[in-house]
Amino acid sequence: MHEISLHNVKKRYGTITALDDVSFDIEKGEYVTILGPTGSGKTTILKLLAGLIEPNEGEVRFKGRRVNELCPEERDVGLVFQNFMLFPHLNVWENVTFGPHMRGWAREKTDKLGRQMLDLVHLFNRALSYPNELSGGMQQRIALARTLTPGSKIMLMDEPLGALDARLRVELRYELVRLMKGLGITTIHVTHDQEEAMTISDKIMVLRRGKIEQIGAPMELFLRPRSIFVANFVGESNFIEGIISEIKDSFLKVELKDGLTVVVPSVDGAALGERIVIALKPENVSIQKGVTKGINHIQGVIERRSFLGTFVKYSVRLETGDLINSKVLTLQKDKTLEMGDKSTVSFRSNEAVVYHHPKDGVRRELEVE
Amino acid sequence: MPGTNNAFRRFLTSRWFRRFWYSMIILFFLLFVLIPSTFVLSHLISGWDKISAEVLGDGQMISTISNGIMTSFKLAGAVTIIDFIAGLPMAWLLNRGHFKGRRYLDTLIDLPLVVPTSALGFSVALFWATPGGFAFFFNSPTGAITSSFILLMLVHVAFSYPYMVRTLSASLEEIDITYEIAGRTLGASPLTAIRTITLPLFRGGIVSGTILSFGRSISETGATVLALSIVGASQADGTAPVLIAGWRKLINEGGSMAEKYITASAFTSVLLIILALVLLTLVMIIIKKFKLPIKKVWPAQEKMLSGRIFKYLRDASSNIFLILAVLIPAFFIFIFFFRGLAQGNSLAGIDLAGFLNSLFASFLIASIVTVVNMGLGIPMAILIARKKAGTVTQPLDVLINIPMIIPSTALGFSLGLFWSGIGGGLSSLANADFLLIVLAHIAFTYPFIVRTVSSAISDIDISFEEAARTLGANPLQVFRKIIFPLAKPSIMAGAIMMFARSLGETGATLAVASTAVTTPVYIVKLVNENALFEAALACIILIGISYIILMGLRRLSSGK
Repeated sequence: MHEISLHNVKKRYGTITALDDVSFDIEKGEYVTILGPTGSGKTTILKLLAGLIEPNEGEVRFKGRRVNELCPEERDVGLVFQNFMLFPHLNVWENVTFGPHMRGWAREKTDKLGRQMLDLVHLFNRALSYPNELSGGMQQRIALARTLTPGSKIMLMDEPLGALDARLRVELRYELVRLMKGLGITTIHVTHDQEEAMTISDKIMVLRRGKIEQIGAPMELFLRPRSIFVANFVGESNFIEGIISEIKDSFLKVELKDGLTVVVPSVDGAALGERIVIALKPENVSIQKGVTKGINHIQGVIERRSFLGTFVKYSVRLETGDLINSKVLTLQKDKTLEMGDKSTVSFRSNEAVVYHHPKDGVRRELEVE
Repeated sequence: MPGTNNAFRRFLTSRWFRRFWYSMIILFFLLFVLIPSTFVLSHLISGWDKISAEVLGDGQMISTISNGIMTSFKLAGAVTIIDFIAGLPMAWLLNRGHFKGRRYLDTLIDLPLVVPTSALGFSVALFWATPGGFAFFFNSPTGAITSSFILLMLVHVAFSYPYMVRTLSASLEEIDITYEIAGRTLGASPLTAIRTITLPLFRGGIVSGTILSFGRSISETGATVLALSIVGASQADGTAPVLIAGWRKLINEGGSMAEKYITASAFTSVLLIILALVLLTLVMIIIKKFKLPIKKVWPAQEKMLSGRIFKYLRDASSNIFLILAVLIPAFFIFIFFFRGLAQGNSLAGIDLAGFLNSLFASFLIASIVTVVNMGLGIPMAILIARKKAGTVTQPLDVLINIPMIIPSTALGFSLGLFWSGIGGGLSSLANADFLLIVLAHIAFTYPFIVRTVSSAISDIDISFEEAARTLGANPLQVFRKIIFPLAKPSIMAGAIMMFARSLGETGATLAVASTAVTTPVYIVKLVNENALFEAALACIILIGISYIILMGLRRLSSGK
């Protein structure tokens, strides 16, 4: 029995389709992130699960039971907001015990839970403060404690770290996972930060224009992105367009713009003469000074060199006119490559991923809005 | 136990119940507020024969009506313009000024709001038009103002000015001052920044300030009657509401002319309603369409006008205006009374029992109206703020304002027609007058609570409600624990406004029931009998009691 499932769910707001035929299953205790650009329907999924809106079509199921008509207070699902939404007229204690209070639980039980949750987030000493007296990080932890007290086994988080400073965001993300996993809670965490999604999730669901592009473990999404969009959104990618000139076993020979050919893995349904797109992670593109020849070696000129700390990123204008990024570990010898240098980029065939050419063009496919 | 509880909860949150509940709220609004208020319009069709025979055929009647209406609109127009010109710098000072005692100034502005308009009008008229008032400083044997129109203008400005300042400053508060600062850093002088950046963002506030101020002026009856009486002008020089109130009295006395006066009142009410609606719609369109900032900029001149001297001049003149045109006249009645007391005037003319009865009636009516409208207006406010009525929400949001724009005398007349026309009418009931007055007061105070509360609720992030729902609160708990506490200051402000409006209203009361005696009506009667000293005492008692009650309400709103 799946803990949470959506079956062919459609949600429209007026003429805008927010979710278009979305289906997925989430198992008990999983930590799932929904990753997608603004307006992709992430928050709509959370609201559907929380019961704040109803789908136009399809079913929402908890443990196999249809819950479409169940109102929020009957679903026993916790929701954490990006701006925390601590009630400003209630103090920390009243905020944290709000859920048990609304359910009319006994005083002792409520007190015990409140105490327990405040201890869990190390803020029992601030029980009598008001939300506006707390820092952003504290507010976030109180919001979390407040959502945990009713003992819900499903937790929905809408960009829970979005309103925090960069450093705090990184610290708290591990704390979030630790807490949820420790309590055996099934979590859905919405974010648009791909690094956040990669580091903490069991599964990532990539959403775009109200449709699921791909669901899978972070590594799977990174290594085998199923679409150009995913390839670009989960760790960036270079895209080179070409035409298949030869099909041989599981490899393709592809002719690029200036007649140069490269060898890449095949893709289902590849046909001779078909237009395709090759995706290459910058980490998989190596760069050398001067002109060297070989399979999958292409010449170009370094247009930009950016120092990223551990990595140096080179943007190289190829002879084909394409711009390709290469990320290499920062080492002493890299100092020898400068802007304007003639150089050669190369990649290994099996590290490229090949896609059919999208009918609206690559650029349209990559748009995040 | 949990089983029944769940079933009950499911019923309360079911879609069916929700629809039923929303429909009831809308139905109440239509039946008790909107339709009675505008019912008289139907008279234009059903009673056209009478109108053309008894009114349009009577040249003298036509000229009386047109004079009244002209005076009403000229007065309301002039008052609104004065309020705006004097109120804008004051709103600025209250919001953007940095000086000690800003809070006191803020309270001073509100002070006239707690004074019932008839008491306020009486006081203002005494100040300007009697020898003991403003003229006292010049040893003049007559009052300073002898023109009835100018006196009415001064009276109306005194009670409508606080509404204008309040609305303007509330709307100004919502405009982020950063825009102005950004303009300044880009090289605009303060005046230029205000003119080209803040003012255009400010149109909504100007529209609602205009509507409120205009509506208040065109509705007022009690203060107008008193002022006319004091300056010794004939009631025929008055505004249209004064005409209707006068006819109402004649209708009640019966006689052969009663029918004719009913028709005349209906016709005048129709004209007032239609003209007010048309005019205010035009104002709304013009203010919105009007290219407020003149694109051209005069850097040198505007910089000079932004200078310190002009700033002081502006602040000083708006303060002087507040003190001289609003506060002193509004509270002159105290001086008038105590001077009279010192001169040994007797209070023989006061009929204590009658006065106490009127006080009791007034406060009872105001309390009932406040409680009923809190119960019925707050759900409507939520409905509008949260757009729960779907496509109906937008029109509702507009319709809500209608009782505010309709002159309250016309509203009262219309409402009286509506309720007495239904099934032989309410008039057969024992307390028909009292009931009619309550219904009329409910109708014209309704917009105050709905407006105030709905704008407060739409400012509350809906995520608070969503958070509470997901934490297990049902809709009723969400209201009690989240919305009510967060919107409490506005709810109380709405309640205070309703209470004060009901307490001060004369026109609507007289229009539905001329025999009923509320305190404002009682004061009008005293003044007409030339018992000025007794009237002053009655005003002071009314002011005192309403001040205590309103402070109590305010205290309630600030407490936890």
